[in-house]
Amino acid sequence: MSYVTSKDGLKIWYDITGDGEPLVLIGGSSLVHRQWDFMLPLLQDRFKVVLYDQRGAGLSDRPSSGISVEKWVDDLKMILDLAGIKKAHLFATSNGSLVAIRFAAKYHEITRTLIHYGIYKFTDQYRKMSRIGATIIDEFGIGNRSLGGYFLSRMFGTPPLYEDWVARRFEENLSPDPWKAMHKALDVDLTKELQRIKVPQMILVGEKGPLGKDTDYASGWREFKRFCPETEFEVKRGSNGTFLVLTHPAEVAKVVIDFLSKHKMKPEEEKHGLYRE
Amino acid sequence: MAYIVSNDDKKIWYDVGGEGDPLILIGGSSLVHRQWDFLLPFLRDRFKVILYDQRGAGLSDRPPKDITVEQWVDDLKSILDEVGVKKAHLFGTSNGSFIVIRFAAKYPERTGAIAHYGMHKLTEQSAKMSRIGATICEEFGVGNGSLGAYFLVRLYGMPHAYEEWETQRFEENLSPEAWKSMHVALQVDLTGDLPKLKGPQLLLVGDSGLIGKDSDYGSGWKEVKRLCPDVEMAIIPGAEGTYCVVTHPAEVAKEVIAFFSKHRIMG
Repeated sequence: MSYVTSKDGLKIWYDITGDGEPLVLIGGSSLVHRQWDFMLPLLQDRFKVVLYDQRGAGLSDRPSSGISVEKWVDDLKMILDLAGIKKAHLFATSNGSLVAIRFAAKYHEITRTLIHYGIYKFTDQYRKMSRIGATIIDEFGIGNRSLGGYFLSRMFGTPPLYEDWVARRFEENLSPDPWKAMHKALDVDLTKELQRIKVPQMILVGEKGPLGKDTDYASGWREFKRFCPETEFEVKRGSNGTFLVLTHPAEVAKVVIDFLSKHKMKPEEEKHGLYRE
Repeated sequence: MAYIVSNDDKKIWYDVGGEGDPLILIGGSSLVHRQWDFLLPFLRDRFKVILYDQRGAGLSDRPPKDITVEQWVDDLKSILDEVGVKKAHLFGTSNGSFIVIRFAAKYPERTGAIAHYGMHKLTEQSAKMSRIGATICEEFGVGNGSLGAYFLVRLYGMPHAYEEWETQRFEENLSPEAWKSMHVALQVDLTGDLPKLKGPQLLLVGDSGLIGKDSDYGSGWKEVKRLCPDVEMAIIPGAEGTYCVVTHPAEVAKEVIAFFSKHRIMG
């Protein structure tokens, strides 16, 4: 566990653990690296896992301004540079997908494969949920041990057994104004980026719940199938939208490990980042 | 099942079933009479049960204005007049408690024993939840097959096993403007009515969850105990606040049947 300091003077938390090809995990903007608690034991046996907290939440600085997808991407690039990682797989879920997609489009020479949830722009449902979330925070606050974390956890459809666990993470990770700044930052449209992604790509979504694959919130995968027809698509039955990485870690790990095994880096690529598709 | 028409021309739904002392059941403002689905089979064996839907929700008219606690109470009084019931027990839960308390204070001669959840004024927590609920109604609407009802259910802490059932009821019962108007109507303080309650009284609350007896939301019983020292109290263990009537019907039935049976209306 360590910190880098960004160009604009913010502390960005990251952690590198395990051995193997580099794999960057990017959580949603409220759970950040804690999104991966249940997957990490399965993935760090196989990969050099890079975790980081997007500025605005978790162990990174939480400014009320100066947050954007571009900054999240560049903070991550700085971490990889610092760690000497020339090429990495990216695995994101929830709105971490926006970071992964922008990163893959901007730094395609660093990106080997891309796994995500399909969110590449703010949908109508997402905006509505953000505004309800902002009302919850205005009423109860967040990070003050009131009911804010609990209501945010419920609003985002957390499966019952994980509700309390997620609420606790929200209490630890979040502050009111930075939460709102992060959600403002997420209101982007990366449609143009989709066509620039040439690396192997997989979309991984749960099938049900308010964030499930057929909701407006999670509908991004359809656009991917259109713009990136090679994209592989995995739907986890019985799992709730983006929470599959919490509730179904073993199943998700299997799918991810199989996918990444098909797209291994060549030795020189891993070392020098020279490989080109 | 039938309707009365109120003095201001609103259709108010009610239903009478079962034999025994008259017992009025008053649900919360979003479930209205469907709050009693699981308890009703127990109570109909013992009481002449009167159900009604507060104006603003369910099968009654859902006007976007002209909703007040006073009007809910008077609608209920009109129903009793219509069906010829001179005196009845009242059992309200959730914010149906407001109606029980106001009715008992305003019409003591029509009131037998009362059981309720203790809510008599808007607490800070319930005010906050109302404002979040209003945002949900504005963003998604409700009763339109969108996610509005789902989010309202999750806001109000319904236990998971009943979440889908309650979502269906909210879809059927609620309209956005009327929902908001009902919640404006609930911004009252009936503390002044509590000392007027002279009849037998039972507080019935679940002990867990965010609307449980020790939350700000469910804290009304404390003031009731202070101002009405003779009040009895039944706590349903492991039940979430006001949802005990949905999740623990047998336990609740045992408590309220024992209580109301001590205070017979007819010989």
